[in-house]
Order: sequence, then structure tokens, then C-alpha cells
Amino acid sequence: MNRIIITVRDEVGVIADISKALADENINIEALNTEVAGEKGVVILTTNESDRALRVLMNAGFRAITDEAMIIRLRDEPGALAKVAEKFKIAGVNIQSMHILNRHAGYANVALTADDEAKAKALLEGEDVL
Amino acid sequence: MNEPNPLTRAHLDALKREFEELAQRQVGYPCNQSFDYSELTPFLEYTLNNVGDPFHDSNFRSNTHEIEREVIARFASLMHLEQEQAWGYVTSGGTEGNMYGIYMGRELFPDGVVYFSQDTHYSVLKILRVLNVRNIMIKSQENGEIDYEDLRETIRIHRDAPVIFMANIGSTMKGAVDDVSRVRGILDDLAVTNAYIHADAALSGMILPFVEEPQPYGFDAGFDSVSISGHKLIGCPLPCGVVLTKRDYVARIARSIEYVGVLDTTLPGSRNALTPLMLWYAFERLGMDGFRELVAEMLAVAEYAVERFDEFGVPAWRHKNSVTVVFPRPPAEVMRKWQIAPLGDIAHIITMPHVTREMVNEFVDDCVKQKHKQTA
Ligand SMILES: Cc1ncc(COP(=O)(O)O)c(C=O)c1O
Repeated sequence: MNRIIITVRDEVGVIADISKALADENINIEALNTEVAGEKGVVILTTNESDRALRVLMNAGFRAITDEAMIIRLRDEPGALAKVAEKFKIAGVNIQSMHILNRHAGYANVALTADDEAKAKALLEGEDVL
Repeated sequence: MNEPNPLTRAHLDALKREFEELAQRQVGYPCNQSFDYSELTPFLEYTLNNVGDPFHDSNFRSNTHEIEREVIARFASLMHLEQEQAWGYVTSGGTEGNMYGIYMGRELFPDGVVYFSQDTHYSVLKILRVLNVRNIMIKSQENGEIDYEDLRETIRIHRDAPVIFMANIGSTMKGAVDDVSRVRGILDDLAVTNAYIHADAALSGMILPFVEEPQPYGFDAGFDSVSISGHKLIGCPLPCGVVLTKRDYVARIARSIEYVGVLDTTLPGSRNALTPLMLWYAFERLGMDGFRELVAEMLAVAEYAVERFDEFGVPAWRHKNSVTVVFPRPPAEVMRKWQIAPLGDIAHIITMPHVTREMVNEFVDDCVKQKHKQTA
């Protein structure tokens, strides 16, 4: 599964714009959580043609990436990221990379990869994983 | 050689006209367009190549290694690095210099973690991926500087892992300078002894040495390596830059190769021999006083731009010693006319030497007019 992660600003109709850009190029969206998409500042979707979808979205002016990373949504407050890092440290799971995708409406969307994905997933239980 | 056929000629003429036109509207990118390298055109007739380490003889003798070493010496003194300790080379640009710096940090500390701020240039994400080094992004303050408290907390947790810190000395979007003295202080407080600081000083690396009250910068302030652009402040028709680091570090990673009789210390093999020549020529022509004057004028124009925006109630600002003037994203019409790069809700102009007060006036007028049109 190749997920596409799009960081968006708080704009009405952003889902419609994304869908249209893909539909115009005959790319099918396989999964998209429409309930919360947009509001969280990030849209995550899978399509039948990731590579082409990525290009289409970029050309349409979206900031889109594909990433195997786990995406979590944290309150944007001092030390929030460090707290997650600490959890991993205590459990002995190495963080390979931790990137802030964007900060939106009091939250930070963070992409995280670790050396042990299964353990990492378990550690993130209870967090807002997107 | 034959004259090009009329069609080719027409193509070339059209291309030149296009570039001339675009140059008039170029206010958003930090590239100095005011340069004259016409004296160097005869050098386009030779196959030149600076393959390998400029501090070692090469079997390929049509090179400008000696001149390149002079360029490195110039930058070493600007960055407060003793000549005997100075090593570096002319790169293809900021990205290569940053890649070299992080590579060096990773070679010295293979289990190191790279820390960098959210405002770091996007090319660094790619570099981290290529080098496959562990890395953690730290959030930035609103003004674009790294959030020192978040940095401290995050390093504290990973205290046993060596720290490779990537400092922004003039961030791309806001011209912010991370305070390396403060970062060194944090490392000392946390008793982190294995640490490496690479500075991305793409633009401000050529500003801070020429101002009265610079923010902390240079090897005396704690840099272990630095990347500075050549095509930005100095101005060059070919993208280039320099990377500087300490000789001892390089010696540790150097591997000798037989092929062309050079030490394999540079990232690429074949390297541009014209860009060192151009940088050398720029220093010869302008001299240190020339750069000091140039920088003073750029800063004056930046201040002028802030004041002009202010007159019209547009909240524009800039950092101390920065030529990057930040303001709210202007309407699309303005961006169609002018070459600027917005990011989210903000945009900037960068008052490089070719950006005159008249251009600033016209730009500010356009922003204000379009805004009025929108609200009307
Ligand atoms: C701060 C900074 N670092 C690195 C780069 C990348 O430099 P280059 O495009 O020369 O590789 C840029 C380019 O704008 C920059 O602004």
C-alpha cells in the first residue's frame, strides 16, 4: 500500500479539488477518510496509481509525498514531540526519522519511522494516529 | 566553426530575450544578478576539470586547483578558520555543501542523530534519506529560528547518541539565524561531548562577515563545517558554492585512489573548474571592502522595503542583518508579474544588489493596489 500524504491549509473544498484533480486523469481513489480529511491539515489517501497520482497532485499545486511513515497528530505544545521520543527511548525502539509535516489549528502532524515498526505501532496506541 | 543556422539563431535570441525580461522582475530569489565575468569567456574554449581534492596534485592538469585553494583560503578567513586547519572545495551549490557537512558528521559519528529545524531547506530531507542517517526535526519559533527548548528536551532524551546539529545561518524563507552559541551551551549543559555542528550559511555566510554586529557564526563559534552559496550573494551565472571543514576531519575519511592520482575526498569526481575561477575573480574585483559596501547597501534597501510596506500598513519585517523581507502572501496577480516564492501565508523579497529602491517601490505599489482591488 502506497499512501499519499497531502498537507493542506484550512480551505473549503480542498477534498473536492483533490478528487477532481485525480478524476480528471482517470485515477481512482481507493481510500480516503473523508470524515476528518482537511480539518486536520493533512489528507491521506491511496489510489490505484500512486506514482502518477503524486505527479498529478504536485502539478495541481498540492504538497504531496508518499511515505511509509506513521503519521501522528500531536498537540502543538512545548515538549510534545520530545515526549513521544521519550516513550520510544524507554521502550528501546530507535527512531529513524521524525519530521513535522505541518502545524495546523493547534496541532502538529508528524511523520515518524522507527527501526521496529510493529513495536512502534504498539507504542503509539492511544495517540492520534492518522 | 560554422555559424548556427537561422532557426537555431532565432531560438537563442528568443531565449536571451526571455531571460532579460525575467531578470527585471526577479525580487524573490537570493541570487545576485549584478556581475560581469566577460573577462573569463576565453576560458570556455578549454576542457577544464578540477577532478578530486583541490589540495592534492591531479594527473589531469587542465585544472584551476590552485585558484580553488585561494578561494577556500578566502572563505576560511571569513569563517574564522585557521589556514593550516582549513580544507574545502567549490561545490555545485548549497545542497552539495550540506550533503558534505552531514556526511562528515555521519562518518565521524556513525550512530549520531541529526537534529534540524522545521525551517531548514527542503533539500536536507533528501540528504538525510540518501545518507540514511537517523534524524529528528525540531519545531521552529514563529520567527523561523529553531525552538531551543524543544531542541534541549529532545537531545536530553537521546543524550547517549552523538549529536549532529544542522544550523540555519539565514533560513530560506525568513532569513533566521539559529544561535550556535546557545546550541553549544545546551550541549555543554547536557554534557554531550560527541557533537558536530554543520552550518547551512547559503546566503548569510556572505553577509555576517561584513556587518558590525553579527549573530554568532564561524568556526570559533562552534561550526565544524559550513556550506555557503556562490551564486547567491556573490553572484555567478553557474550555480556553485563552497564547503569548508577542518583538515583533521577530512584526513580521517580520506581514501586514496589510484585512478587519477587524487585523494578521494570530494563527493563528485569530475568537478567544475570555471566556478572556482569565477568566485576568485569576484573576490579579486570587489575585494573585502567592496563586499562590505555591497552588503551595507543591500541591508539599507531591505530596511527601505520594510518602511515602504509599513507606510501602507502592510506588516512586513526582517531579521537583524537579513536582506529577506517577509510579508503576507500577496494576491495572485502580483505573483504572476514578479518572480517571488510564497510559502503558505507568507512571501518574501530578498534585496539582492540588482533590487533597487525603484523596484521596491513598484513592487509595494503593486501589492497595495491589488489588495485594494480585491477588497473593493
Ligand atoms: C538556506 C539554503 N540552503 C540550501 C539551499 C540549496 O542550495 P542549492 O540550490 O544551491 O543547492 C538553499 C537554496 O535556496 C537555501 O536557501
